[in-house]
Amino acid sequence: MSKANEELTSPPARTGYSRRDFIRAASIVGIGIPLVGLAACSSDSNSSDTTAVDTTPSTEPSVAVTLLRVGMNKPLQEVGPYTTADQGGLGILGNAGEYLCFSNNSFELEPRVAESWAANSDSTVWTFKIRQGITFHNGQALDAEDVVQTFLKHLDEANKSQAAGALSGILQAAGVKKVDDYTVEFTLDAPTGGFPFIVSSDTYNLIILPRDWTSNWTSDFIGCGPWIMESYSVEEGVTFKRNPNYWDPTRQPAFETMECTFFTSGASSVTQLLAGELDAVTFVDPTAATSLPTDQFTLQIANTITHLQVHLGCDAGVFKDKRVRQAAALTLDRPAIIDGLLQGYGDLGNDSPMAPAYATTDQSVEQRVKDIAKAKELMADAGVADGFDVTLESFKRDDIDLLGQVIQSSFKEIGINVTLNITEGFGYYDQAWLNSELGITDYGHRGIPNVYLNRAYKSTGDWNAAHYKSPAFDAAADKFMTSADFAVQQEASKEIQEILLEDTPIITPYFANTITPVSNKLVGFRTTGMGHFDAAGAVII
Amino acid sequence: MARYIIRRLLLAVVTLWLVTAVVFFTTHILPGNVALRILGPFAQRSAIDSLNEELGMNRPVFTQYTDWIGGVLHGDLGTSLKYNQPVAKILFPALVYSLKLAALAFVLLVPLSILGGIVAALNRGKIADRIITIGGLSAAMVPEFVWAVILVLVFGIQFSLFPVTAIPKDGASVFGQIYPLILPAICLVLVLFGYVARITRAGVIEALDADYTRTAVLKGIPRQQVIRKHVLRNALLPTIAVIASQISYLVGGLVAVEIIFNYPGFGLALRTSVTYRDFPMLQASVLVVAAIIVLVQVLADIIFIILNPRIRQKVSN
Repeated sequence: MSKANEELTSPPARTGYSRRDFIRAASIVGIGIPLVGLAACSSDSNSSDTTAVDTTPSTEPSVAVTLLRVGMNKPLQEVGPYTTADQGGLGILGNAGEYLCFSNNSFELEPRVAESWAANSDSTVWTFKIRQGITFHNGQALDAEDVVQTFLKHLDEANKSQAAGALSGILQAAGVKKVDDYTVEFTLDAPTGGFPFIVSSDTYNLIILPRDWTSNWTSDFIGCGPWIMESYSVEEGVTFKRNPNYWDPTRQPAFETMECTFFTSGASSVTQLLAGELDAVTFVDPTAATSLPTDQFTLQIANTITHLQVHLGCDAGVFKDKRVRQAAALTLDRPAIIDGLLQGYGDLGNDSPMAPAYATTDQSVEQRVKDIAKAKELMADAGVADGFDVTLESFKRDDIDLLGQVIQSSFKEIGINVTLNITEGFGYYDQAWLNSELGITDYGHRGIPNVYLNRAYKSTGDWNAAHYKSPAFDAAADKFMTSADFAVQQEASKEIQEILLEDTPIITPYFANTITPVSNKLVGFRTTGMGHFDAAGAVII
Repeated sequence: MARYIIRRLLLAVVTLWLVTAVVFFTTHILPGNVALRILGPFAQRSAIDSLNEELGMNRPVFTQYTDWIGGVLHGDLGTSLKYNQPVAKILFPALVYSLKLAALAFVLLVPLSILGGIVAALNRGKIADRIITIGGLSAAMVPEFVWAVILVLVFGIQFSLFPVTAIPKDGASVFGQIYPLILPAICLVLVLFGYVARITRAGVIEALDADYTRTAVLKGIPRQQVIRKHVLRNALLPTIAVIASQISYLVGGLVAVEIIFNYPGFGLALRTSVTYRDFPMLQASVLVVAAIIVLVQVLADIIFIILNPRIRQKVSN
């Protein structure tokens, strides 16, 4: 069970700044610095407990605070509806823009631009009713034509939209039709039960745009979301002012201004939070987060499907035999990995993308646990009792570095000698991702598992790094993705989970929680597993 | 002297041209798919291929170089692949940030370290000398990011005397611009003080032992005047060379300090462009750093000439 689900109690409030506080702060600012490490070794401090809280504002603000200060990840690409492909960028899109519907942390959809939606009997035609009374930041009224044009723009290959991949094989331009001024109909290429999730904030590029919008979104961040861009610098941050014409009366921004500062280091954002220069930091790593004093800060924890996939080449090489793949997966001590790498903030992975947090996941499927004896037996059966050498490919990031080291030491227990080739930047995706026997790939959160199933596991998947081909799996995945019926999806999910546990093309050790530290004075600030943050309902008390 | 300076400037131009060629060709022989880096790893293959074509990445490298250098000569540094914005729009604000920090660090470092070096030299072997040389070197041994962490913890968090971010507020006064830069500047002073002070000390000691100093003392010139007119003029030459050599570090090498203080300086921009192979940004960044280094070296040479009559004589001949 993740810490997100535990009930924890805050310690009594303290005043002043103790030695323990100093060491705790040092561990945030200077993680990995021996000097601080030595100091910490001699201290009596324990990691502070954290509090998972209800973020609904329950108290009226005592003093009107007009400025909200948020620390967020620096966007790694040009911010825009076509180009954004990272957490920093989507955080901006989600505040200035508005989606048809919003995928929340309960794995439910909240109606936004669309007030309702319905499918025909086989989920091939979806009809969305568009909300009336919404205006864009430039005063232009939003209607069905804007929605249609938004989708046509993303489906136009010339625009190279990041959303095109999510819609590929599901929706073509000819399938998008305006029925009347406030109704849009999507006729799909194939039945898709989870279509509303695919056009929700899960596909974060799909904010609804004015019909005549062409390009250069960074000049004005045009949208119909609760925040209007006031200034933007690619290196420093973005300042928003509240949208006085925002359509939702329950989510009217309480702050006049929201100042979002970009960070390249989670540790320095937490330092600013600690110094009182920020009210919230959107996402931080567990080590920095758990070091914050609980009498001043609250950690908002969300179960997510964010995970690392360790692919094992199924079509050739050392992992071609599934017994070797199973053996490798049996070496990992998953609870220890979650405790060590994530400070407990994660859910167990069972070598499939059907995470425990999905309602459709069958919880009765046996959880894979570390079993070295069984792993050695499988290696002997496969004729590789003496082990072999293999290279693990990936790219530099703290969690990937650490998981790579864990895999190296775990695999060694059954004679698999792993050489780590973890490179800077995008070299991994450029060269090794789809051409390696063993690699680690990061996958972001999705409200439904369709993207993982369709692109990373299916025989036809363009992200199928394991080169996995299983007609049985393909059939089960199609059954899951085409149905809108919960019972059918649950049945298909069980089939998927069992097939993948047996075939083990990919090891999924865990699903990470997201951690958002906020000042105890700030309530109503929400983040999602995908990486959105929503300050529309937030107040400082 | 004017001819000498012109010759140095012409040499600087040749150096910069060589830098552009080396940087351009080495970045282009590195493996990597430019469109993939722009669109991200999960973009569709057709989009990646199409963008590579649009960007002209399939053209001969020499053609790409001549196009780029032509743009540079017309003041166009290109467009950032990562942000799809003019490189100049991203790079020059970062450069201004770095120059502000470097300037403040200079203002603190130069008088302090020269004074420290002089005091140490004049008190050779005494307690003041020991404190300055051992203390300065000890401080220099500690990496700048460790000093940054300590300063943030002590003065930023524990005593709340300074902000932990170095970015000034919009529309801040001159003091408001300087105030947030004090901690990172102190950090740099701590790292560089020992080095500069030691060089100054050595220079002063050498000048104090020189014949011309002894002659000046024997002539009955007051001690202050001897030090100011005879000792310092000669002793400061190596100090100036050392300070000039630190310029590239202060402008483009402060990545760790910039990260800790969340300061969007030139070092971070350079690092990002390397990490994400943003070629136009990388080429422009290196060109700017090279230009600064070359200019500072020319300036240092001019100061040498002004301070030292022997060099002036040599140049004139």
